[in-house]
This record gives sequence, structure tokens and C-alpha cells, in this order.
Amino acid sequence: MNSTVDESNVVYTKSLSLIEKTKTKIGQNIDQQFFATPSSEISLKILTNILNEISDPDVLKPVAPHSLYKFLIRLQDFVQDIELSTSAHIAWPIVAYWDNIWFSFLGKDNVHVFYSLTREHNYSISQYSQRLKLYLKNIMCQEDIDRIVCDDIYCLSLASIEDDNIPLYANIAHEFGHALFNNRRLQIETILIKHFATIIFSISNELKQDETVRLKIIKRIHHILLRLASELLSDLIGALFAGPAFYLSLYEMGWGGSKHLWSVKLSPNDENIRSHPGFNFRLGCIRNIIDMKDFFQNLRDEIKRLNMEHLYSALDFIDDIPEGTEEDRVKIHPELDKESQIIQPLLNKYLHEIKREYELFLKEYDEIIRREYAPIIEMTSVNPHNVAELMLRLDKKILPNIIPTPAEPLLGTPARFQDILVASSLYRFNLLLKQKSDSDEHITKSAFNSLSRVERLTMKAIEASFIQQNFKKWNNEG
Amino acid sequence: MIQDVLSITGEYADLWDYLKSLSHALERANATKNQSVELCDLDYERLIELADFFEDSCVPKTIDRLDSPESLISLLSEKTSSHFTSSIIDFKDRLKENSEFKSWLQNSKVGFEKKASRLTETLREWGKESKREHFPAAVPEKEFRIFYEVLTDLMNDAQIKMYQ
Repeated sequence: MNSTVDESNVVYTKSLSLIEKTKTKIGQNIDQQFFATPSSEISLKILTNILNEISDPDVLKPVAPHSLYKFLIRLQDFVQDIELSTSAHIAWPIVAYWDNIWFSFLGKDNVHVFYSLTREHNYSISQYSQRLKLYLKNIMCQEDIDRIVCDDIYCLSLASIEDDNIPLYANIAHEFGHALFNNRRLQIETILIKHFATIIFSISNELKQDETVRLKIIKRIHHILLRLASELLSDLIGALFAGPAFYLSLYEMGWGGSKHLWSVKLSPNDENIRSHPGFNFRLGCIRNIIDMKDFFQNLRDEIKRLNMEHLYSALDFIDDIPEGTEEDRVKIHPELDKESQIIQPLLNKYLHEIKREYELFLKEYDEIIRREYAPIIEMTSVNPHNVAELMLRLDKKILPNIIPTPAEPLLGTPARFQDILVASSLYRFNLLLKQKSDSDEHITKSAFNSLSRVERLTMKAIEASFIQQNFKKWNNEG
Repeated sequence: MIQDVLSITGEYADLWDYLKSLSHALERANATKNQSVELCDLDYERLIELADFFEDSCVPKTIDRLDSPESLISLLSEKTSSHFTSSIIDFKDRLKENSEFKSWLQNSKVGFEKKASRLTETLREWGKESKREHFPAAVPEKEFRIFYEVLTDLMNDAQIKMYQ
């Protein structure tokens, strides 16, 4: 074992300097007063405690300098997540609404979430504290890690490029689903294994490899099925908490790609395997969860009552979204992973059975969620009458924050977040469809103008609605 | 772009880092023979992790349990100790290719699995004894060298995959 003493010393000194630099950066760049939600403070405190701990030379004695340096490089991403969690980057009325839902959903189990941004055109949630713990394992003993990182924290990253695209905020509910999946992993895994045992057993009988390898492949397939289940369960939560807005949002996220592709990305760490079911299958599952047909029929009636039939186009479009899943296939990458070519044909062979089991699993879990979280589902249910009234207001370029009543046509009753979200999603789709029929020379400017108007009106309405709800709560308490 | 192992991130970078921390603990354990290093809790944890990782990779499970869907349920419910289970093939292959292990195996009557298992036991026992006695036991140099060489090979593999 040839020791590279000199290089280690240099890397060690560079690491010590980076510890101080990171401390200074946190002190200068992060102002706690502007955090969009309070959970950012808990995360910041953990990072500060870690930096203080690793400033102690005794703690660093057994640490590989290269591992320490690599940890500090990674830590910069964790710091940036917190830097971007201020209201300068995050629309606080929206995340405040979702934060209330989170608290009723998982907050009671002492699971926290804070909101940040990603440069990707997508939404994601990560196990902030779990990831930290995993990286800390290379430089700190378990007892110290558990003492310093004692809270369970998630970081929900919003798509920065879409920060004005309010209807896509429905995806936040989907991301909550991933947190539920992790929080109830044991229970969900038990249900899933029951559903998939026969299929996995049949697959294992087709494997010709030696015992250790066979077992490993089976475990990887098990992880792939778990990740797919996590996506579908998250869709279930998205559909239950954000209704048709989530359906439209998911449909939009699937633009451009094949709707039949089930994608799997293997990883050297099985816990990091990523897999996504085909979009048509996902949309079909949502249609089974929320009674879309009933909702849209009622909405049509309400729109007709308001003599606004030109707003039917989005509803007609949704009716025509293709549903077929016969052409579905699984594609696994990266190809440099030797097992991708073994697993791919096996999953394709059993895909029909796998889909059937997922439908049964979702049915079973839908009942569990509706039973356990009835108050949240009641709170987030969408009303077709309200949605039609708000679409009308958007069409008249009026803030969609009030549902008029016969007695109070002007002041009415304050609109609820979820009704605003669905109305805005549907109205926005009407605009996208309308632009297509306009002449090309006008389309760029008019699309921008009309879409940004809807976004601004929606954002203001959500803010007004949030303040009205808070006022109501405060007034009732008084 | 200049390839830089320390600043690159991603799954294979994580694997490299994991292996590096195991390898560092092994180096420190080896250095106890000169009494130049005093081992800490982190060292012992990393050595146990190395033994677990090695065992998951090279010591076969009783596959007879996979004779029904029910047996599969209990098997899949078991947790492996290491996060990087999918490096199993590489670890086993690398050990089989290791020249010192190969010659050790040739001169012995026991098979690969038994020998691999003995290697892990030696590491575990050394760790236990050193911790209990608060004084490092005699370093099993040959076994440590085999571990170190296999870890180095795996780190090189991970380094190449980082850039692919």
C-alpha cells in the first residue's frame, strides 16, 4: 500500500479552506428573513452544524482527505438549494398553500419540506437529509451523523424556467407522493411484493446465471418495480390533491416523447434507480382515479349555463387525448451496465401482467389514501360550478379570485386555490388551442401576451385568495 | 474539459468516493503495524462496511429459498448492508483476477467461496480484537493487501465510468 502522503496533505489543507469559505458564503448570501417557508431554517441549521463539526481537527483525523474534499464539493449544492429557497425566487402564496397541505399530510410525522429551484424544465423532490447522511457516511461515524442530522427533510425543486406557469404547480402534489412513498416504504413494499411475487418468481425461473448473480438481478428488478410504483403512487396523490389540473400538467410534461415508453435508468446504487411508466398508462390510471368524465360533463353544463361554449375547446381536446397502451415497451439504459440487456427483455415479456398488477395496487392504495386523508381530499376537491365561474372571469380579463353569488355578484365568496388552479389550467389550454388557428405573423406576440396575462391574473388571484383565507382564519379565531 | 475525479459528481463518483473511504480505513489499519496511527470509531465502521460489502458480493446466499413466490417475499424483504449492491459482479470478478488471491487459492484445498468467506472473517476478527483490546492486533498483511488491490481496481473502474 503506497501512501500518497504529500497529495493527501495538500488536499486536506484545501478542504479546510473550503470549509471556511462555505461558512462565509452561508453568512453572506443567506438571509433567513426571506425564506419562503420555515423549513429552510431547519435545513440551514443542519448545514451550519455539519460545518462546525468538521472544523474540529480531532473529528477529521480518520477522514480520507479526498473524501472530505469531495463531500465539500457536494455540500455546495446543498447550500445552493437553501440559497434559492427565498421568496425572491419562490412564489410564496403558492408554496404556502402547498405547505399547509404538506403539514396535514406528512408534517405530523415530523417530516419537513422546503422549496427551491432547479434549472431543469421539471419538478423534483429529493430526500435532502437522507442524501446528506449518505455522503456524511464517508467522513463521519453513524452516531455523530444521527446526532447532527436528526430531522427528516425534503427539498422540493420547482422548474425555474416555468416559475410563471402557475398551472404546472399542480405537479407539487405529485412530488408530495414521492415523500409519502418514502415515509411509508415498508407498508407499500409489503403490498407491492404481494402483488408482484408471482411475476418476479416467474422471471427468476428464466434466469440462467449463477446464484449470486441471479439474486442480484431479481433484487434490481424489484427496485425497478418499486420506483415505477413510486411514480404511479405519486400520480395518485397528484390526482387526488390537484384533480384535473394535475392531469393536464402531466399531459404537458409528456409532450414530444413517446407515450408508450417505460424508461429505466440503472445505477450502481440500486436505491438510485430511476424508472418512469409510459405516459398513456399514467394518464389512464389518473382517469380511473378521479372521475374525469363526470367532472367534465358537469363543467360543460356550467359553461353552457354561462353562454361560454367557446371555452369547450379544451374539454374537447382532453376528450381526444389518446389512451392506448398496447404498444408500450420497456427500455433500459445505460447499456454499459451489463444487466440492462438481461432485464429489458424480461420486463417486456411480462409488461402486460405488470400493468395489471399496478392497476390493482393503485386501486388498493387509492382506498387507503381516501380513508386516511379524507379531510385533505375534501379540502382539495374541485367544484365544476366554481371552475366555470373563474374561467368566465379569466375570459373577461378579471382577477379569478371571487365566485359570484346571486346576493353578492361583485364581492361573492373568495375562490379556493384548487378551483383557481384548475380554471387557469383549462383556460390556458383554450388559449394554446386558439393560437394555433391564428395567422403565424401574429401568433408569437399574441401567444405571449395572452398567456402571460393569464399567468399574472392567476398569480394575483392565488395571492388574494391566500390572504383572504388567512384573514378568515384569523377573524374566526378572534 | 480536464477530467477531475474530485470535483465530478454523479453515481459513479459516489461509488468512487465510497470505495476511497473504505480504502483509506484499510490504509490506516495497515499503518497500525508501525504504531503510527490510532484507529477511531469511523475507521472501525468503515472496516465493518468493507466486510459487509465484500460478503454481499462474494459469499452466495442460500438460493434454495427461491422455490416459491412466498420465499421470494421474505428474500426481497431482507436488506443488504451496502448501497452499492450492483457492483457485485465487478467485485467478484476482480477478486478472481487478483494474482495473490489466485495463488492463495491454488495452494489451498478449499474453493473460492470458502476462501472469500475466510478473508472477510479475518477482517472482522481483526477489527473486533483491535477495538476490544484498545491496541491493534497483528495486521494480517496478505489479506489486507488483497482487499486493498481489489478496492483499487474497483476505484479505477468507477473512475472510467464517471466520464462515460
